[in-house]
Amino acid sequence: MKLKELESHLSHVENFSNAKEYLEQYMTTPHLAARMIYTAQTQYDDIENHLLIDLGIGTGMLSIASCLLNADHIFGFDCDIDALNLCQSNIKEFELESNIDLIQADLRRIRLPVDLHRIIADTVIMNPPFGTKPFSSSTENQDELCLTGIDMHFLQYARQLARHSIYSLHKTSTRDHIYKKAKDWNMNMDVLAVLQFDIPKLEKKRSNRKTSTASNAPLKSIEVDFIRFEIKDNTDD
Amino acid sequence: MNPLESKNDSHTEQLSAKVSRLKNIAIDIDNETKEHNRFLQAMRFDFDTARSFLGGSSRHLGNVMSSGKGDRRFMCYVIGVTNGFPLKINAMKIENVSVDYNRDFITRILQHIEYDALRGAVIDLGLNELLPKTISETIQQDDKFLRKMHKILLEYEIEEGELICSETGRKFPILKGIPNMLLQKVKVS
Repeated sequence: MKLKELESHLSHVENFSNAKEYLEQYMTTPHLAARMIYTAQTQYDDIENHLLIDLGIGTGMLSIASCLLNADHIFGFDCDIDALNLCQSNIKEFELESNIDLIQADLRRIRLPVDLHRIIADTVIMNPPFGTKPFSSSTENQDELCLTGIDMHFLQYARQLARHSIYSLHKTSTRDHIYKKAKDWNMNMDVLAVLQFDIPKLEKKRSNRKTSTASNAPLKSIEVDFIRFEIKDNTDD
Repeated sequence: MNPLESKNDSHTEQLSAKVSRLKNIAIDIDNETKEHNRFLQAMRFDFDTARSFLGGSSRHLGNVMSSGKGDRRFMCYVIGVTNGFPLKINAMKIENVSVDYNRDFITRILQHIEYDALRGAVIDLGLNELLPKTISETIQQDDKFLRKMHKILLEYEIEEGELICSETGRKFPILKGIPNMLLQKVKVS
């Protein structure tokens, strides 16, 4: 499938109608998703006939893109049931029900018998929340806060789940830190591209400032690295 | 005039001696302070290390506590789970779907599957599929077996049911085909 074709298919993926700010829910655009997955397939052959895991699946954009490029099967994780329902309807739209399985779980708090470690995928794809801002008090429920460094948390899980490689997006400003961590976790790291990412500017809950509501929130462009991590061969694998 | 002058001189001398003593004292104070500063610096460093240790452990504890939600029994309970795998499945609604058979896919996916767990699940669900106790190399080539795996893996969809931790009995509901692995706040008796 050609890149253009993939992108135009992906434009039918429905976006969040009610994105939850505290979960940093914003859709990977069809443009970016197509390029990410297309690169992963054409340059590295990491998608086709592989078992994938999508962490923080959200709308399902990356998973659907992967399925369109003949991924074997995908397990998608998200902690938000609304996102999963939306994702499920997107999957139905694309008739990929038998290719993607969804699981509701919170990566910040996995302390389960399944502990996920049993599932080993070839490749992990994800667009994690960047989590660089602990926007507290946006909700009264402490549970629902995105934690600082949540993206590294995702990466750590991805490291445990992936057999070969991880594709992820991280803020360019944190690149050095990620390099360090990648080394600690025995991974090679390649920044494949630097992307411009438009995310809604996160107003810090000064409700008396009437500048923005959820629908017309101003966009802030940030630089994001598209990174491929390759897991070095482990003897104890 | 001379005696006055000499008196004056001796006074000046005394004064300068006092001043130099004062200066010495000042220098001593200065040294002392510097010493103290060094101590304090070292101490701050120690504190910093201690704080980061404490921060680490309090973060861990926080994680544990937040999953426990103040219910300590539950907290211990969760920590205590060491080997709950595999989960038991209890299905309330199973749908049969039809998916195209792809032999290569099944062969590949078999490498990712814990066969014993799958076999246990098939028994839990009471599916009318007989599976061999172990899978030999030859049976992994057997088309009949692969078709059976295809059916089990892809054509049964559990729409509603629950997963049950075999060690603790904790239940994780499956709704609309999505298992919910979030830790629910359940009182443990």
